[in-house]
Amino acid sequence: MAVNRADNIAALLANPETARPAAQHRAASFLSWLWPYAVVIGTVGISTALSVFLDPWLSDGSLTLIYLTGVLIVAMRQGLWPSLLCSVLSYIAYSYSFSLPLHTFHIASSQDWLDLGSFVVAAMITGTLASQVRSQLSVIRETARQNHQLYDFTRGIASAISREKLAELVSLHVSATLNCKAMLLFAEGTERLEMPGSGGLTAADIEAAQRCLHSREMAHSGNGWSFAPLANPRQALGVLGVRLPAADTPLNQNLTHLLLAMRDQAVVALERINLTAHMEQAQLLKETERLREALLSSVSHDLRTPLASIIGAATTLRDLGSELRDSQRHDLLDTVIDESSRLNRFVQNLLDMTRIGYGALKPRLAWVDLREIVGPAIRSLSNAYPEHRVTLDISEALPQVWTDAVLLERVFFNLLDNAAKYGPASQPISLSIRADAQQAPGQAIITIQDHGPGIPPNQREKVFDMFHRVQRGDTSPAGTGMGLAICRGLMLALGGNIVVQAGAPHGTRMILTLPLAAAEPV
Amino acid sequence: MKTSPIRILIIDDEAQIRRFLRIALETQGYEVTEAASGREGLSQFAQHSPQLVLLDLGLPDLDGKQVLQDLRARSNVPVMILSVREDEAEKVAALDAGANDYVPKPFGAAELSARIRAVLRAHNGHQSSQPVLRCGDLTVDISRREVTAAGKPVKLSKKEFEILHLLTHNAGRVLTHSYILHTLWGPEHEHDTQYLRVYVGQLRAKLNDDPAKPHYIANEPGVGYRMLDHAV
Repeated sequence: MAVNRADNIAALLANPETARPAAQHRAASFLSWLWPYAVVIGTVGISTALSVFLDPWLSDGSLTLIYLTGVLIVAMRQGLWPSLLCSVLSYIAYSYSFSLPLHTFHIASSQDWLDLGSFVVAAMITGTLASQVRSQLSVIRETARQNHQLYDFTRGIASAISREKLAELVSLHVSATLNCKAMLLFAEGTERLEMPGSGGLTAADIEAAQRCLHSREMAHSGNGWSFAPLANPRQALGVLGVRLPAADTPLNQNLTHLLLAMRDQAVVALERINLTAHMEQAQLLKETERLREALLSSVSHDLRTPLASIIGAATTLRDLGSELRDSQRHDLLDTVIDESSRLNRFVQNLLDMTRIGYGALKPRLAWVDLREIVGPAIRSLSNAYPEHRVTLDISEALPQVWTDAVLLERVFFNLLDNAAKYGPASQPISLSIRADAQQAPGQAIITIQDHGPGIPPNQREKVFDMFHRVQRGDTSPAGTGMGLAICRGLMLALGGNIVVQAGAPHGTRMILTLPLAAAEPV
Repeated sequence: MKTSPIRILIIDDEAQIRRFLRIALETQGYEVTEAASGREGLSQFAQHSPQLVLLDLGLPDLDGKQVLQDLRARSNVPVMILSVREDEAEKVAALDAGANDYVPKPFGAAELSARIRAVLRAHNGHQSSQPVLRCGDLTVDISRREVTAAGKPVKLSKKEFEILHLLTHNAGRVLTHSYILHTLWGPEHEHDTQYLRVYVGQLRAKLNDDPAKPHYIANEPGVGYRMLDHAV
């Protein structure tokens, strides 16, 4: 099983990092670093433009408020350092554009110093506060995201019904949550890990995974894999491995907690799956046991019933022989003979059934004229049922068939025997054989129709089931019901098949298909 | 005085078994009616009111135990089970459901006749309460609570006497462990088979009965005990 799963390893190794090329990644991080400074310059620009626009109506002192508003906004949005930069740039812009002398950066008056000082102090206070708020906010957002992912994870793996599916789901979720490669390995017994192919693990990684399984503690391999153990109080169940995109950065505490939380959920799910598997196995075992019991009691019924008649009749003959009339003595001897041959047929059926069951049935093929098989089958039938008649309708153009004559005769006899057993002697059983090159090329179609009670539609497939008979136990006459299962087994061995249809106008119609040339058994 | 023959109803779906049973039983002077299914058996029973029923458990339409229950609901006619089911639990279930005996198939004609006679005698004895029960060389005097085995008096405790009385009263018939326990100890002791084993052991010792070759009390493993019927 471990080998079969080698193909799945690609699916298990979910890895979102490969989806984004490294160059693009680097460009994005550069842009995000540059962004606050672009905002600073933009803000100062907008403040200056607003100030120029409003200059005719406002006093110079009021214009500083416009710049101060810009500094506050930057401080709130972008944090301490951009806001400090913004305050300095704002002062320069203000000083250059509005404070006298115009178009110089000279700090002339104490008023100018006050302006610059207020810009810087406002920037520092708001910047510090804002960056605190922002970092708290990002922590809250991150926690919410992780909770959400953990919830998704729990819900996702709750649907897993097999170990394989669980491994797939856990790997997918963990890799998506921690943005890393992830892999779930199961313990094989208590000592070893199942290794579905190498899965991109080096010998050192595998060694770390094994160490993790044995010690039941986190283990790290040299090249970036970290393994967390999956275990219940009694035994180790497996390990959950993760590999961060940057091979040398270890997992931080927060991510480790998240990983362990997901690991715990995976343990719960795995325990549930294991328990279900155990229960299913126990159920299967019980079912097998029950079937074996049924088979035994069915066989014992089928063997004992004719024996009971034979022993009963024979002991009656011995113990009461002198008091019996001739006709009674004759009847009892008939019972002995009939029941002995029934027993013999049953033993034959048992043998056939066993051979079919073990696939040990080897047809011995030869060119056969089907007419020559029908004859002996009908003769055997008239021994058992002297009153029943069979009408034959065999196509003139029937070619010889490459098949096993002995097995085929057994099928014919079983079917005719059934037809006679369940049908009235007053109406003949009809047997027809056709080989129509147009309708069924390469096949002979054999139809046996009786005028018995017929088989209800919902039973028409079940009658070919060996266990259908077995499950009826001793409530049906001994040795019956197995015949059809054997017929189907024999026909399948000859490359054909047998189905049952409703007869016309009533009764049962057995349709046999037989290839004109059976394949040689291998 | 000419008595009318005893009527026996055979309920079995195997024609060959009915055939030999009919010949064997008719030759011995019984009158036989046959039924091939449970329902037919019940209607034949209503029609002919036989004095004994031979019942197969595996019938095509009803389970034999169902037929037994229906029979028991109407009458206490002796019912003997003839079945290929060899499971002890099946035997106990059938006997506890009111069957008078359980004869596993296959069986010989002589054995069946002996069991039929035993069941009929036990059943008739049941109805006329005799003061002294005799079973071979064993006599059980109920009113005086005296027992003799092979002519020698045997001293029994109260419970031992009750067990012996119960078994002798039903001589030839298997009594299940739970039936004996239920009758003599009460329903709460139905499953204390160990009790019974101890008492039967003492009883056998006092009767000088070898459990390996019993002369009086035969063990039916997993089912119960039977007083061997020596009367002919």
